[in-house]
Formats: sequence, C-alpha cells, structure tokens
Amino acid sequence: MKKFTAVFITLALVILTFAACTNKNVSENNNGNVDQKKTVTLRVWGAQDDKEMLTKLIDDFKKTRTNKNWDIKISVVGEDDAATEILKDVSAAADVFSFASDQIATLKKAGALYRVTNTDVKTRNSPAAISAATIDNEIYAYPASSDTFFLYYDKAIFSEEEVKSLEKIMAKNTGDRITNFAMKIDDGWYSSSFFFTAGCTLFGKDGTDKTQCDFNSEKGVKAANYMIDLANNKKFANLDDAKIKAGFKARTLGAAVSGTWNAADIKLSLGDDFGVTKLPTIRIDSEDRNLVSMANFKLCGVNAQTKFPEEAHELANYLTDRAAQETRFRTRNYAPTHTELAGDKDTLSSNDVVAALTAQSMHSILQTSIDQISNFWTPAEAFGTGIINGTVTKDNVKEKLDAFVKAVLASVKEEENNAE
Amino acid sequence: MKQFFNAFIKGDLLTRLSFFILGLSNIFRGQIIKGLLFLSTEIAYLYYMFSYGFSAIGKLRNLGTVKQGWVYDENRGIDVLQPGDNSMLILLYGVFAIFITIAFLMILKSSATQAFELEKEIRRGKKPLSFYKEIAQYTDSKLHRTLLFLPVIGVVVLTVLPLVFMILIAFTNFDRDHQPPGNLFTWVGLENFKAMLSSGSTLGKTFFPVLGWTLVWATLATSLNYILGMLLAMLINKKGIRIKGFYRTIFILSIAIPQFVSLLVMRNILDDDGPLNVLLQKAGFVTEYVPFLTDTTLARITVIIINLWIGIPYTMLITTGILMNIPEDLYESARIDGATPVTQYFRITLPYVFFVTAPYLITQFIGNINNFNIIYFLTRGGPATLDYYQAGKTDLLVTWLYKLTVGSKDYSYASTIGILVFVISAVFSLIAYRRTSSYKNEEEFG
Amino acid sequence: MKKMSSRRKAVNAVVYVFLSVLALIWILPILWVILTSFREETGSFTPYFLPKGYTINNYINLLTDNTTFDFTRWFSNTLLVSVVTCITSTFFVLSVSYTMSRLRFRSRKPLMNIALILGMFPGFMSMIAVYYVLKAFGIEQSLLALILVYSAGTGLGFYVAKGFFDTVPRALDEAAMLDGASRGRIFWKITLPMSKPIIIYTLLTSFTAPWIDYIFASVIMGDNYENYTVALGLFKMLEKEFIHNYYTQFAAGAVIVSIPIAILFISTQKFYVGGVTGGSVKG
Repeated sequence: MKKFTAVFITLALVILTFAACTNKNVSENNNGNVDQKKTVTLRVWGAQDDKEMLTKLIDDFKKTRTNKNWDIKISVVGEDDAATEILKDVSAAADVFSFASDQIATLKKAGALYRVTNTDVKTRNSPAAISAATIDNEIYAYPASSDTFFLYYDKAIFSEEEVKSLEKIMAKNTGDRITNFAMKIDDGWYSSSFFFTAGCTLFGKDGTDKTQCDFNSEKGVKAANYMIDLANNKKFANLDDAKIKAGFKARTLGAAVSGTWNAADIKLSLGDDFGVTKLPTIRIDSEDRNLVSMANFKLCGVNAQTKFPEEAHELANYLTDRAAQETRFRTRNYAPTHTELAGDKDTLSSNDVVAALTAQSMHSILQTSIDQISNFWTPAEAFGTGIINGTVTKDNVKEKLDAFVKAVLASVKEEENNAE
Repeated sequence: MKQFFNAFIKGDLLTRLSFFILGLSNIFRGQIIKGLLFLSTEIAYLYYMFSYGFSAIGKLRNLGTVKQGWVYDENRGIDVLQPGDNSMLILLYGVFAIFITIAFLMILKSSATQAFELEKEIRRGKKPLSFYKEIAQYTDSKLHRTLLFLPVIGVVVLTVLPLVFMILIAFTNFDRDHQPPGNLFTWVGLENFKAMLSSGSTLGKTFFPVLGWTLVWATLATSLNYILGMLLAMLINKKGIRIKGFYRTIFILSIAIPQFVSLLVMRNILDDDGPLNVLLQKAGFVTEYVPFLTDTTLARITVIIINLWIGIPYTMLITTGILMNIPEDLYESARIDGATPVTQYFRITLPYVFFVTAPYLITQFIGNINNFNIIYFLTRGGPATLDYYQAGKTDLLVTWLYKLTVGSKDYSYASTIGILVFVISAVFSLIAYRRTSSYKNEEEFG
Repeated sequence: MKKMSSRRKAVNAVVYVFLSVLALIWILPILWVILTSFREETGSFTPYFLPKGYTINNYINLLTDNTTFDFTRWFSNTLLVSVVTCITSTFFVLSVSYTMSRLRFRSRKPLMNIALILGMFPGFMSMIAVYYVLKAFGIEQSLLALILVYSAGTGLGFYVAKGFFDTVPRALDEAAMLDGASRGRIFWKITLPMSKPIIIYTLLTSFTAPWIDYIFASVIMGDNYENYTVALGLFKMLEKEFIHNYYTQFAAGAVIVSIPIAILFISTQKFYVGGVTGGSVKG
C-alpha cells in the first residue's frame, strides 16, 4: 500500500490549518496599541423588527463615548431563537444579545451568561423583572421590557363594558357570521391562564420547584372544565396569530387574546373600532376572577466569552436604561420594566396597547425561570388539542390532567436511574 | 500486514531503520524526493502529536476535568472568566488526532513495505523508479488513487469524522444538563441505550411507539407510492391515450417545486379552517371541519396521502420506461391463455418492474424511514400527545432526533436514536439485498 | 371488432377523465402558490382559494426592497454556491463512479460497502459536528463552507453514475490501451466525452441541492444574514413578526426559485430515469 502523496498532502494541510487556528489567538492579543484609543469590537443580537431602533440607540451610544473606537455590529437573531443559536456555539454568539426570560436557566447552565455586577440594575427595575433575571440570588441579565398578552376587540361588536367579562362576551348574540372570542388554547402560554386563574401553580409557589405542578388538583379540574365548555361553544374559536389577524381583517371576529407584536396589524384592520384592554374576568368557583396571564420579560444578556467584558456590560446597560426603555416604548410598544417609567401613568396611558398590557400585568404571574419549563409546552399543546378535538371530555378530564402533570414533571434522568 | 512484518524481519539495516525514520531507505537508494516527502510527513506528524495530538488523545479518557469558573475582580468591578475544559472540543480534537494517527500509520506501513521492495529491487540490480515516473503512474496504473483522492478526503473530513464524533456522543451524557462550555460531560457507557430501550422509561415509552409508526409509515409510504405510481404510468402509457407528454409534465412539475414550499402550502390548505375545509363545508359534504392534521389517525393518513402527491410522480417517471420495455408477446400469450388484465398485471407487469427496480425500492424504504421533510414541514410531528416525551403522534424517529438536538439540546439521546435508526436500516437492507439477489438468480428476466 | 373499439373508446374516455382529475389535484397546490404570489391582500391565512385582488408588487418589492430581506443578494449567494457545488460535485461523482466502474484495485469492494453503510446514518445527526469541523478550519458561516458541505459527501452518491459507466462499452478503452494511452488519458479523452447524459444529470441534480436545503444551511450560517441562501431567507419571512406582511412575497420568492428548477428538471427527466434504473437493469 502506497497511499503516499495523498495522505501526505492531507496531513500537511490539516496540520497547518490546525496550527494556524491555534496561533490565531496569540496574534490577536498582540494587536499593538499604536493608536491611543482602544478599539472595541462588539456584536449585538436583536429581533429583525427591532433592528432600526437598536441601530439608532447604538449610534447615540457611540456618540456619547468618544474615548474609544467603537465597532459595533447588529445581527438579527430574535429573542425566541437566541438560546438555540447561543448554545450551538457560545464563542461565536454575539457579545450582547436579547432573549426571552424563559431561556435564562438553560443559558446560565451552559455557562453562556456573564453575571451582572452593576447594582443600579436591581434598584431601577421592577422586582418582577429582576426576579426573572435572577438565578440563585445573582442577576444574570438586564431587563429590557415586560411582555404578556391581553384582549383585542372590535368596538363595533362589543362595548367597553361587555369585554370586562368573558361570560358577557360569549353570551352576546352577534349573528352567525361572527366569532365572539378567540384564543389559542392549544398553546401553554395562553392556556395556562385558566389554571392560574383557578389558583393552580406551575413549579410551586415561586415557580422554581421542578417537582411541583398542581394542574391536576380539584382547582385544575375546574379550570379544565371551563376550557371544555368554552371550546364546545360555537361562538368560540381556537385561532393562532395569523387567523386572528385574518379574522379582524374580515371583521368576523369580536375579541381575541394576543400580544403587542400584533398590535399594528390589528389596528390597521379595525381602524376607529380598534379596542384593546386587559383580559376579561371568568366565572369560576362561583366568583368572577380576572384571567391571570403568564408574563415574561425580554432580557439583555452579556456573553460569558466576550473579549470586551466592561464595554459589553456598558452597552447592555445602556440599551436597557431608562432612556432606552422609553425609546423602546415609543417606537416599538414595549412595556418598560424601569420602575419610574412604568410608574409614569401619563406617558404610559398615551399608548393604549401598552396601557392594556400594564393593566393586565396586575393580573399576571411570572413565567418560571427554571429549565423544566421546556417540558411544559408540548404536554400543554397536547392537552389543548385534546380539548379541541374532543378527546378530553368532562368524564376523563381528571385522568388526562394526571397524564399532563406527569409529562410536565417528567425527567429523563430519574427514569434512567430507576432503570439501572 | 504480513508484508509489513516481513519487511522488518527480512530487510537490511537501512530498511529496518526506515521503520523509525521514514524515507531513509528511499533517500539513500536514489529516490531522494520521495524519501524527503516521507520524512517531512513524519516530522509534521510528530510535531503535531507532541504539540497537540498526544494531549488531545490523553484528554479523551475523561473528556476534561476543569470546569469553567469565575473570579471577581475588585478593580474592574466585574467577574473574570477562568476558562475551563470544553468536553465537546476535547472529544472532537481527540477524534481528529486519532484520525491523523491512523492516516500516519497507513503511511508508515506503505513506507516500510516500499523500503523493503526498494531494497529487493536494488539487490536484483534494477534502477529505482525516478520521481517523475512514479508520478506518471498516478495517471495510469494508480489512476484510482488520483481520482479518489479529493472525494475520499471530502467524505472522511465532513462525513466520517463528524459521524464518528456523533456515534461517540451516544456513549456520553451530553444532554441539556451538561452543556459545554459551562459544564463538562463524560462517558456513561451504555446508559443512553438502556434508557432508550427499556420499555418502562420516559424515553422508552416514546421510542417504541415512534419506532412502530416509523416502520408502518415507511412500509405504507413506499409500497403505496410504488404501486399507485406504476398504475399511473400504465394509465398514461395506455394505448389510445394522447397528449402523454402533457400529463407527464404536469405530474413532474410537482417534483420541481421545493418541498418546503409545497408542503407548507399543503399545511395551509389542510388547516382546520383552511380553504379545503371551508370548501367541504360550503359544499355540504361535512358539517364540522375535518381535522386533517389535528386528529391522530387522520393526520397519519393525511401524511401518507400527501406523500403520494410527492412520491407518485417519481415512480411514474421511473416505471414509464420500464413498462415500455416489457415484451409485448408476453401479454399476447397471456391473453390467448385467457388471462384477465388483473392477472396480467400480477403475473407479468408487477414481477417484471419489480425485478428491475428492486434496489430502488430498498433505497426508497430507507429513505422513507429517514423522511424528514414531509413530517417536519407538514405536521411538525403533531398532533401533540401526552403519551410521548418531546414528540408528537406523526413524529418519525428522525424528526424526534431533530427535536431533541435543536429543541432541547439532548445530543446524547439524539445520537442514540441515530445509531438505532442505522441498525434498523442496515438490518433491513442486508435482508432485502440478500432476498433480491437470490430472487434475481431464479428469474428469467434481464 | 367494431364492438371492441367502441368499448375501448369508452374505457379511454374514463381514463381521460380520471387522468384529468388527477392532474388537477397535482396542479392545484402549485396554482395556489402562484395565485398567492400575485395576491394583493396580505396575510398568511385565507379561507378562500382565489385572491380578492391581484398585483405584481409582491415580485417588485421582493426584488427591489432590500431593507429587511435582501432577496437579490441571497439569490446570487445561492446561485454562486450552486454553480460551484455542481461543478465540484460533478467532478467528485464522476471520478468515484468511473473508478468504481472501470478500474480494479484491492480496496474497491470495501470502499463501495463503506459508502453504502455511511448512507444509512441519518444525515443531519452529525450536523453540529460538521459545524465544529468547519469552525476548526476557520470557515464557519461562509459560502465556502456551504460549498464544501454540499459537495464533500457527493462522492458517496456514485451509484447512479456508476450504473451509467457500466453500460458504456469497454471495447474503445481496450483499443486505446493497446495504442499505449494511459488510463487517465482514456478517462479524459474517451470516456468523459461519451458521458454527456450522465454529466448533465449530475450537474443538474447537484445544482438544485443548495436551493432547497434549509437544515444544514441554517446550522452553518447562524446569524450571518449576508451569506444566507434563498431557502433560509424565505424561511425567515415565515417567522411570526413577518409572516403576515411577507407571506405573499414568500410565495413570489418560491415561484422565482421553482421556475429554473422546474425547467431544468423537465428538460432532463430522461437522464434521471436512465440514471436510477440504468445500473440495476445491468445488474
């Protein structure tokens, strides 16, 4: 066998490349400081529709800090995809990134988050926002905005009074063509409302105990029965965002549950009849209770492997301070977490969408920050689907809820130990 | 191997020394360039091994021991990262070093046997081949090496190396709780396989039903596509049917549309409130919407039917030519014997086409076991179920694997599934190929 | 006799109707994409087939407005990647298949078996490792990386072309060899010129891969928008922030991508058929 030249060239090439790779790090540090100013290269991740706003914020950031050469690049990775992209390769991820608060535990576990030591962050933001950014009593991200869902409605169909209660919404005779109320109940983000309203908790009282979920308690059965009745009502429809928007556009939808990201499109469709408010009350346990929504936060994190930690923290701090949050609020309808700004009723009420969100925030429950939450979504979807297609009925609801809770609390690890 | 030891036992001192200093024999026996190439390979290899290779292989034992840490720096007011080991990179570079070593051992072997050959040639009084002549061999008697060189490198670096890496992952605990760089992962032996294959565990309770559906799906999808596609080809081929080309082109058009487009469109059309349901309700066929994609049984049927839309044109395309090749006299004599068209189909058409396309059928079956697109784009695995762990009722093993890697970063379980899928495919192909070759020998066709 | 033919006519009429119905079913989803691409009203979801209004603005916006989605850039990226990919992978496939078909050497059978075995592992099982290998070479997130990924493994798919080479008569080779031509010369000067159909087939099949792959491209490109391919870009349009306003442009993009692939495929279908069945007919 003389595979000689072949293997030789490969070897040489491969070794050279690997050698070159390992040498690169050395040479980077030797970039001589001929220029007195330090050059800072940073990359920021944000959602595509925030890009314009971020560009403006960052331009201002650079203008006010002329002591360094800033080379800041914005790339598009939305809050929802942040964890997936970061976990693929932490060292290739952005220095400063936006992410949804339910990813914080996963990110922290993978060692991707830089601890926040700036004490100002804790004092200026609301306690709920801080708790969403906290793991083991340490803050790991800068809160940027709070997010939950609320009610959009068509003023030509419902009055301000009627949308206060789901029973009233459903009871109104709106004719054959119109769906009174829509909500995506095969999505845990929305469907958990009914359980929370009934008094159930997910992962214990403070949402950090991964062995606790009482959706299958008596209260949970009441919530599930309410959902079954609702789903069986012809005036209700289980609609996703696209269909909700299509429904409002065709004016065949009275009221629907959704979030800020749909505000612009729905406003455009309804025009003067655009209505938005907090979620309605539901009658459960012979008592009218406001629907409780799951709330989460958009957070700004600093990459643990950033080459410029001080500057990255400075930027993340800047992108989430009071002025930046006001820009976010004005340009993108984002609800602030800054206590002063959030307390500024005059400013907030100028924007009906954010006002509705803020009103709903009084009745919201913080989405847990433990990573067991990743086991919640699929079973919740399955349970919702079951209600819609009639496989979950009042007769077997308890049994289905037991399976639901079991799936939420399932852990591959423990089973593994049992199997041994 | 025998040659290799033979060379050491029977060779002279120079040949024996060439085992340790590569190319020595060539250099002193007139093949200087070749000898230097051998020698520099060895130097490059040793340089690589001493600077990175040995430590990379050494770390494979436990995949890293130092966890990433933080130290608070009073002056800077921030934590400072103390980088730790990255188990994933350790594993990758370790595998890489082993690949390099295997390659080097192959060179060593070839160099040693060549040294001995050279010694013998010279003893016989022949002149050693000049470098130019040796190169010239690579366009002639060794042409296969020249032609295979780049393709094989490509496959080794971007297919085999990653594959070996991922196979090894199945024997580690690289899951969501052990994500590098924040955490280390390590070897766990067969734990993942035990968890996957024990019927009582969370994973096992998902694995076996999903496996069952995968097999049912692959069987139905392959056989229905095959039979119906052939029937379509026969209809178009039927005597007296005109504009054959027009019909064929229409069916072929569906192949040309990227699957992610056509499948996403289907998803929209088949939605509970989609145009098809609206149409059916308006026409009065149904009063309630038909849950094409949200009811377990119906979704499974839908997936198979939509797959017909995608697959039938392929079978039609392939069988058209074969059908035209079937000798007409076979049918002629069958008709004289009074065979009905159905008998003719089962006695003549099907065996003939099957004989020619058996290997295609096997690859189709394997392809369907791994059919990612249709499930991922059409149903996303849904409808969701409370019975499975991170999988839906139409999920195949491959889409479940994908969900586990991209969704929950449970790489170890995903790799385990990948290996099991491979085992299933391999066993099936082995049996099937055996069958078809024996089938072939008995048949008279071809 | 007359009776037979009238019966046959009736049967044929039924066949025509049946085929036409089938053709309609096959063409409808395609028609739906085309109609959507000309739809005036936005939104990803409509409960009706026919648009309420028609416009060509979807195409114009897609091709001219690059503030959010730089479709033209992504299109040229994909074009570049697919042109280079189809050249390299055709070279790879032809080299391997010719070697396996015509040349005899010791490791031939083992190599062919290994190729079969490698083909049975689920492809994207190892994509994260592929990413890190590319990163070790310092070319992650680049178009070069995409080209390598699309062409590196193509050597494994040599079976179709090998089937073709198996059918090319050997007499010419032998004659040339008697004249003292080297094997390399025979490959270049005799076999390749005779293999036009299979070269075209291989070129075209490898040309389409970059246009339709989404999974590998997304892992390799990550956040590098500038190097996206059309498949990745079109998928971005379906994310929740965009789907409402960009769905019709998505359809327009899909039509633009499909047209060249459709033309290529229809004009080369006979090679495809020959490729798949050629080898097995020979056995």
